[in-house]
Amino acid sequence: MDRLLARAQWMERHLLPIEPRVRAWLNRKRVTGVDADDIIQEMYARVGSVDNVDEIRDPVLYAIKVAQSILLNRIRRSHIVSIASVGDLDDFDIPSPERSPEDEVAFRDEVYVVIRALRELPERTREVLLLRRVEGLSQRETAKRLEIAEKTVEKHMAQAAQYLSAHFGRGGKPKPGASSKARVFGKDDGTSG
Amino acid sequence: MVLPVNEIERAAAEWAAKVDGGEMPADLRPAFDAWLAADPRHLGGYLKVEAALARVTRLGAEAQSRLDADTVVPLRAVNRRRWIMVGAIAACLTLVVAGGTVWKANSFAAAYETGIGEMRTVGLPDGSSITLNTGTRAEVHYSLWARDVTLDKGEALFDVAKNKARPFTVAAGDFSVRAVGTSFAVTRIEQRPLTVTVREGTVAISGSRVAGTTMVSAGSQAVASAGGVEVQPAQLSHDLAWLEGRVFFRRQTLAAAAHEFERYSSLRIVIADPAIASRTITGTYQANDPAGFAKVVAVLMDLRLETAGNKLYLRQKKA
Repeated sequence: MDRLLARAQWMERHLLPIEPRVRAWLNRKRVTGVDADDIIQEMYARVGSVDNVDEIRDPVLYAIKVAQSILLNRIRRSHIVSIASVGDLDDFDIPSPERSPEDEVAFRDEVYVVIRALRELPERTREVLLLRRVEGLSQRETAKRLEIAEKTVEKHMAQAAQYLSAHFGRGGKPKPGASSKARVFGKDDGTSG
Repeated sequence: MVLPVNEIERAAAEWAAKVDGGEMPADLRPAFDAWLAADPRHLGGYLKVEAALARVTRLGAEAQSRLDADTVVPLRAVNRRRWIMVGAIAACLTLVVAGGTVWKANSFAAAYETGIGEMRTVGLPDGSSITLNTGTRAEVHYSLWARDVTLDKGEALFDVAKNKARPFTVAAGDFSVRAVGTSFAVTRIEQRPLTVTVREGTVAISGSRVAGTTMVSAGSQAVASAGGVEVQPAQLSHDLAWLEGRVFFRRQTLAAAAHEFERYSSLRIVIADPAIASRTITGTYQANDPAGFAKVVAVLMDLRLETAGNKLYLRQKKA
């Protein structure tokens, strides 16, 4: 298998699950002029460039550190925002290292997330995706099976890929056109003690 | 399916679509490498897309089997057979054999129930589906003329397949909600008024103790109580946040928020200081993670969080 794809498999287990949290954290920072998508992509790129991911003992903590350092770099380079406006960068809501006690439950939730994503796809797009990436058919075999052009298979596949990436990374449905301004996660004004 | 606007992810997805047999075809390799080299974010976008696809590769078979099986086995699967039997007998009695076939094909009965913290989607024979939130029970009775659902308790979203000849009605306590083809959620929680949130189409609400019928259209929410039915604009992403396993609070008091989490878990958040119970919070939180919520609240409001057994105590820090 392709080295990048092997790396992507590792990321599916260790990076993709925390992407929504990183996004929430970025959105909470509300740094003007900094695009959450940009930072997320850079985070993937940096983790993708690590020589040996097996040496990363705590992927969650590592990813958070990477995201923090990227954001800090952006802020330093930018003349618009002051660090003071961002507050404490170290306020990540770090998830507990031990996962859900019942692994079975966790697995069911994961499967449920995939089911939800698959349901959102148009039927033909879903068929193409499942044939290509679950049953492992080649583009040509998929085209033959569904009696459609290879180019059409590729088009469906690209749509599925783009949708899933946005869907999983945002921990649910992506918001059209507002990819970097997802949820506001915080408190009301004047309520803190 | 709505695709977000992000050029890098779009391009990355196009590259990912070309991967065959676990690698990029050799003839495309130079162009792909050039694209990767053009901008460091390209590698990130590509890895992100491939990670998402890897998830489908790992879990897709399981997901697909449940998607095909329509997610769940009815609790009373036997009932279906019994209803078919009833149908067959009815057909004999009326001596309309052809009619009996239609009846058989259209009658269906089942009950669905979710435990605390559980959520599931069930498919119905007519193409409609019900998504049950935590602690919910619904009974389904389909006949040739009608599709009746009783929401015994909890919260559920109904995605209704269009069929004018067979109205789809959800009964919840004193009220009934009728739809032709639409998508709407009904919330029936003890000590709260019944709410109906309409995502698509229109529904008609009537109650045995209130006069008339109230029409509720997409994007609106009806709150039904003994005093009548009131319609207000809904905020779908918030009101239906539970579909994504989340709860949404809009200037909700800590006391009310803690109470809401009780629907999803046996962990209890205790607001130990009356002085802080009325502070309000806004935001979207993971419904099945009261501990995470309590932690966030503690950080945001500078409170002390203590855990004892299944209780999470939030109190003011000592001066």
